[in-house]
Amino acid sequence: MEAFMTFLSNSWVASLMYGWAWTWPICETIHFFGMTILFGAIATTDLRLMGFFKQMPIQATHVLINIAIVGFVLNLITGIMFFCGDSFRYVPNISFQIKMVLILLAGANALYFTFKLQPTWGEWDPHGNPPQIARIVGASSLALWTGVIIFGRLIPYLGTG
Amino acid sequence: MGFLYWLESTSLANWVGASLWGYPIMLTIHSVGLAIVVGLVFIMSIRFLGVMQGVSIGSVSRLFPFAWFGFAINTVSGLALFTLQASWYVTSVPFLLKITGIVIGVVMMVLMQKEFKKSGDGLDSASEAPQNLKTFAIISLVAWSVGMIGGRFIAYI
Repeated sequence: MEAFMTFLSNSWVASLMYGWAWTWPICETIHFFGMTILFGAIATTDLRLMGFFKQMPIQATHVLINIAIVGFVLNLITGIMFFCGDSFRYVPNISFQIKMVLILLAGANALYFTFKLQPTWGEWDPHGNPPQIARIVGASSLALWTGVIIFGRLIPYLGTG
Repeated sequence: MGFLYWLESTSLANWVGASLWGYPIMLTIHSVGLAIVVGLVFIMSIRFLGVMQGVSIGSVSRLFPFAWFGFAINTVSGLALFTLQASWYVTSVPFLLKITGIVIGVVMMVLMQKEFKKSGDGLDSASEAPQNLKTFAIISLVAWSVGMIGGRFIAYI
């Protein structure tokens, strides 16, 4: 791990992050944009799954996935850039660790929805409440992504590093 | 300016500034509120501009109350953060840019909602947004983007 982190610190990405004083703030701003895009798309889907605004057919939320992916990719790229630039601080940071675990859980939750629930959602009432398991998946997703934002923002304030 | 110095001397300002957790907690709440209000406004705006035709304009407009909820969170947390260094914030260019963006963004939210109230069920079932709504949506996207960029750069300029 140590060797890998040293490798990252010496990589061209790390020099890009520190070569110009504005790279880091610009990437942070893009990271915020990615966050709002991802959260907006995910939260809309989650709220509908939880039973809000039934005017929206549940199956129509499918079009939000592409928007969510745009936000996620933006943040994956900028996130990796931050990590390359400062891995020695991130790795031992408890808030960063919690954030990563929450992202993995949110990902698993999304995969469960995609592969277990979505194949059967043709039978759901478009303007009704989805089955309870889908409501739980929606609420979990909303809670997990909110947690990702919370612990992401707390990285500079929590724990060591 | 007297008012701003008074704000900085309130017990709220003291708590945000002096307690170990006041500032990070407010900042974190502010980030969550940001994701809610801007995230949902982005989704609505791009839908009005013709992206994601699979969802109806009317059903997307049901997100307004949730967006206002995020805005309320950020008004409260934003004011708490503001009391901390009120007299400094009002001289910060990124802060002033941010506030300008937010004010325009909020006006656009109100105007967009008015379009829905005005047209009633007509707009609910429309597959394409009228020109007014599209114009508001573009201004809204730009305004909230400026608000967010300004906000992020308060820490750097």
